[in-house]
Amino acid sequence: MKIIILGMILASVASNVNANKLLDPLFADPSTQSVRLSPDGERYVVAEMRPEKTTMRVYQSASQTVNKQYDLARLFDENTVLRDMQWLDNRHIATMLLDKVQTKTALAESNAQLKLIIFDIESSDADPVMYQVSTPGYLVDGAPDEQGAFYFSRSAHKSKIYRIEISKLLRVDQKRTKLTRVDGGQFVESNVIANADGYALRWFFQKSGQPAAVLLRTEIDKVSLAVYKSASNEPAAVPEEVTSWKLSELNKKEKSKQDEPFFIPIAMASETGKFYSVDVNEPQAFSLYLVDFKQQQNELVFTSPGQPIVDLIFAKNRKAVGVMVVEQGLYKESYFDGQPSLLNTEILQVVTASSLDGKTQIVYQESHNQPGRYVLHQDKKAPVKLFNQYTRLPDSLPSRQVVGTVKVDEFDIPYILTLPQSASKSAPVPLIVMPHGGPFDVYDSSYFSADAQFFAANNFALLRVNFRGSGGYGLQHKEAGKKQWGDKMLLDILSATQLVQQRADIRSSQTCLVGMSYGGYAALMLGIQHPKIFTCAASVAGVTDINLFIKSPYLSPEQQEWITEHVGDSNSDYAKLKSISPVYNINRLSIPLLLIHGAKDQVVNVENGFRIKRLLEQAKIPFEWRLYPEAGHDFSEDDQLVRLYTDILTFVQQHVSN
Amino acid sequence: MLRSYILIAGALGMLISPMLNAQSTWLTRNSLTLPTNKQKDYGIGVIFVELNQHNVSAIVQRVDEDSVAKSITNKDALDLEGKPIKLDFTGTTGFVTVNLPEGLYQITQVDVPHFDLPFKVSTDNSDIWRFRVKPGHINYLGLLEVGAVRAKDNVNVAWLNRFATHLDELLAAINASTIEWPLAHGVGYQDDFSLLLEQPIK
Repeated sequence: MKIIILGMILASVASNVNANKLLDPLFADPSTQSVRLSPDGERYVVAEMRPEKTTMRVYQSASQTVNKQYDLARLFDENTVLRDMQWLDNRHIATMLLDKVQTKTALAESNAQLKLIIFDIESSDADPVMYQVSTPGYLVDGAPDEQGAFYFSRSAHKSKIYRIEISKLLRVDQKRTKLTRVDGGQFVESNVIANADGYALRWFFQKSGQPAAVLLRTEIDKVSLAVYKSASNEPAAVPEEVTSWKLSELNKKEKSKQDEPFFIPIAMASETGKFYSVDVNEPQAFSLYLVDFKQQQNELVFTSPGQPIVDLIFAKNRKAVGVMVVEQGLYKESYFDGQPSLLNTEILQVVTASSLDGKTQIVYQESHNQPGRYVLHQDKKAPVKLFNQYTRLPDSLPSRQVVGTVKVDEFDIPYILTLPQSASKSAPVPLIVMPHGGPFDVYDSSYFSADAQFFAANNFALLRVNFRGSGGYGLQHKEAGKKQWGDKMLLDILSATQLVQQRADIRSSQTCLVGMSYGGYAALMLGIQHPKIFTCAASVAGVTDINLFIKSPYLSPEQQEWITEHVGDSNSDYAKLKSISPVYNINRLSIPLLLIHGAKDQVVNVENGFRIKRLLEQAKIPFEWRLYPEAGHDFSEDDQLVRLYTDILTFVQQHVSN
Repeated sequence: MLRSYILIAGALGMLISPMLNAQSTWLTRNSLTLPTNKQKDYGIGVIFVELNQHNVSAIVQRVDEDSVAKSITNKDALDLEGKPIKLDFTGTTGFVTVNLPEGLYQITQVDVPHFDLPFKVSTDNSDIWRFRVKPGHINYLGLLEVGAVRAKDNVNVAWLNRFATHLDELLAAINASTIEWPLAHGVGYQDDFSLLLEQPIK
């Protein structure tokens, strides 16, 4: 049946549509890749993770040729998944492995025991040497300026860091005998370099490798920051508590105390005893402080003008020199000393790894029509592309992008329009309006978008709008979305649509809505309210009854509180929320509708989809319905994304051609 | 927000409480059974269960409806009345029926033992964990879901409002029975959806 329908569609729109272009390269490739640079910059390791197997390849930086290759499925078993990897020195790579079953849910992963395996890349291919740590705990870091050793934490009611020599560990394939000892008998007091009285959550080190401080849980409800005496080399030294926090206060701050700063350390500064910290009483991290918890002094280091700080940038001496923020929907580096940013608004370019001498770097780059790629920069050599994030895509795709704003109620609402290269006044293209999910804090960026490139390749223009409530444009923009789900947010999307519809290269009479999650809600509501502007609507995992959504059992009490504040209270605001819910307005639907929902959706209960389905069937209003029995909220398993985008494209092609 | 939420449903805390007065004879499985003549003002409750753990049971207790308003801002102010009732779901799947006196009920805890260790998930008096029984009606109460993945002190448990999702299946079961009681949406908080089904929308 599907084949017949597809055939009809192809026949009717063959003149301007290439069905399902880019579908597989964008949505069918489940592999992910990550890369790490060795401390001397002479090698880098690339891990390619696929559902069936994970492969690690070690390359020579100078020639970009493969030096070593490890197939984890062959070395261990097919269920082995790489969680993370790290160079301990120029010869050893530490890998944190876990069983595939334990990656299925956050709950399982949080209980999973990571297996620490260390690869000696100078061992022969015929007899690869791999060491294993059997003692429970976690890798803290490689020992600085020391080959063949690393620091390992055993966290319990009393936590310790041990200095472990790699060569003394047992090899993965080594049989235990009466003469061998677990982990080479290294978990002994003589190897302890630091003690702490409590469960260590995070250790902070001096540049010299001496432990400087530890963040640890000392009681069920208490987390402490304890600092070691600066000159102490005694492993038995007990750190001195300088401050502590009640977890219950962190999780649920008392309203009356919200004006007082509530600092949490995120990194140790080069200055002894000081920590880079953020104030958790700020709604987001807009300011960075240097805090001396012992002296109870703090100094404001940097304030981001309305953009939350998402990461710190360190110089080689562990001094923070800048922050990474999101500005106008784009990642941007802001330096304290006014250095120019590495970034501009066209290309995202981030240094992801650097050798100790800074002469070799790996840089990640992407732009709107250039899929993400990793590039190797070596001193005095031309940059070399290592690999693309999308392995089956060309380096650049033929599309155009227009970034603009539309004024709505004195707000400048940003939008991003992606057009097929061929779109012109003489060959206008149909328009898809795709509101993002979230809706709060989430935003569409003008860097690479799989959605935009997919629809552009299939001869559609795609409009994405960062309506009020979206992240990436500062606090005022985000807060303006409070309790505006069915009002101003929709108005912003509508206004941007009407502006773009005036373009000569847009066929405004063929405008469809496509959205997922909140976007699915917006697609439904705008489709119901404005049948003269929108030709059809596809709602995927959409909220159709806001009161039902708020009553989700999957939300924690804190999340419930947040939703009450930002969306509404299903007790006191019931009538209002009902009035802006598609279920209670569906009698006004007069455009073609495609409803898609995953039966296992734990964010938007599939009941949302069934409610609309039931009412439309009862009223005998035609619509299309796709239930994905195995899908959750993000359609990320198996071939679900391919099927999803096939369903959506088929639907919109059919209705713009009519 | 919607996309970013991580499943935190279960594990609302561990409650240790003495075993309560079990009235498991009220539970009839996989069939619709009218309450006996002695059970006046009773309704039939229908629960859909998807249990991926063994020996799951729940404790429910009637709510003093006068206390509901003040419990909106203070969950501890919710007054429960009558005897706690144990609903034993051992060995069940799909629709399960239970005959109960009319009223608003709170599911106070769900028991999901880990092998022979007791583990009880508290529902913190949340109105999400309520249902209503109308007398002389077949009341759809909700879906009890217990996840497959667990630790000894953690498991995902959810009580879901799936009235429209289960409606066709439920109507088929009701039509196959001899009971002529009307169907009610036994949700424990305000939800006007079922009103739409009573009035054609066009």
